[in-house]
Amino acid sequence: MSDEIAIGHLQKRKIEARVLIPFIATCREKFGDGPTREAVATTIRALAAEEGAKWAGSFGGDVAGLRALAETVWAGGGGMDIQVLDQTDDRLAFNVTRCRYAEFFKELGLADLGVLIHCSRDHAMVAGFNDDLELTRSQTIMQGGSCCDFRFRRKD
Amino acid sequence: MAGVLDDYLVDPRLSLLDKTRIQAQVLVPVLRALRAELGKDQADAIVRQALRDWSKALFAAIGEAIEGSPRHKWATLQGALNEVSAREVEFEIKRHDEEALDIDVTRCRFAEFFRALDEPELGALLICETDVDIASAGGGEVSLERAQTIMRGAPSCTFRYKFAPRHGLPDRGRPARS
Repeated sequence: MSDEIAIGHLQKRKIEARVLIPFIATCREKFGDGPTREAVATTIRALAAEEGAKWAGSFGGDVAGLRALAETVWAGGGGMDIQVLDQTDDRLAFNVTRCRYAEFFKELGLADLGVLIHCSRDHAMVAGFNDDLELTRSQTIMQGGSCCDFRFRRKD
Repeated sequence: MAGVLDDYLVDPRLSLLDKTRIQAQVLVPVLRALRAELGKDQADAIVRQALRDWSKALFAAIGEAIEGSPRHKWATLQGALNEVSAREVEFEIKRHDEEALDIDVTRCRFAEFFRALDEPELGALLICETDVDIASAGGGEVSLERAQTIMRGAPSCTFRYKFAPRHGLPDRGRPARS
């Protein structure tokens, strides 16, 4: 399949959500939330790791590459507002202060699905991007936080 | 500028084929994971129900928002779909008059994409069934029969529309995809 599609990341996620949302809703009706969540999360994580590896190839698999990725792809086209707090060769800390991905899912009343098919990608993405790096994040806008506190650092 | 299919296309700058590719890129792995858990028949039944319900509701809502007769709704919707899909198909109009519109689609890049993925049924759900849901917007004034499609392995898609008798000028909507 072609990966070279010239479109913003936010629009791409919206287009994916168009078909994922009814699919997940039907799965939930049939099997309940828990098993559906598990099956979807496993696949989404695998896709995110692949995407992380691809982005490492494009931006470089280091902290500077992560920042470029966040600012260019995630925030590109106004998808989110990012405030960088700290950056060294071994760590990157930024807060997302506005997230239009979260706004999209919240407008649909589907923030829980947003967590599942959007936010939950990030940890797996880092594993694919550079397995020496890790992400901790104590809150997200999607889950009701005032910001998303992304803290990347090189593993000990 | 707002278009009649904005809710369907999401981003009008993107071709319908690329939009469908993006959806397949995420849907196929999820579907295959579900097949591994539940078996193919059950997983495919779920995706079928989910995508059919979604598509019917989406085009019914779009059709309701278009003013005019059912046939006008169909023509408006089908015309908008043709604009974004005509580049992906080759077709031949066999008959077009007040009573009927017969079209054979002889090449379809949507079908080529999904058949290469070995997921023709998913392609039928995401692409071919759209024509059925748009025909439904025509109420009792437009009916569509399609005995075969390229997506399902036939050499052509045989669109056969029938129109109820009416007064006034004919609408120009016509399908342009399998």
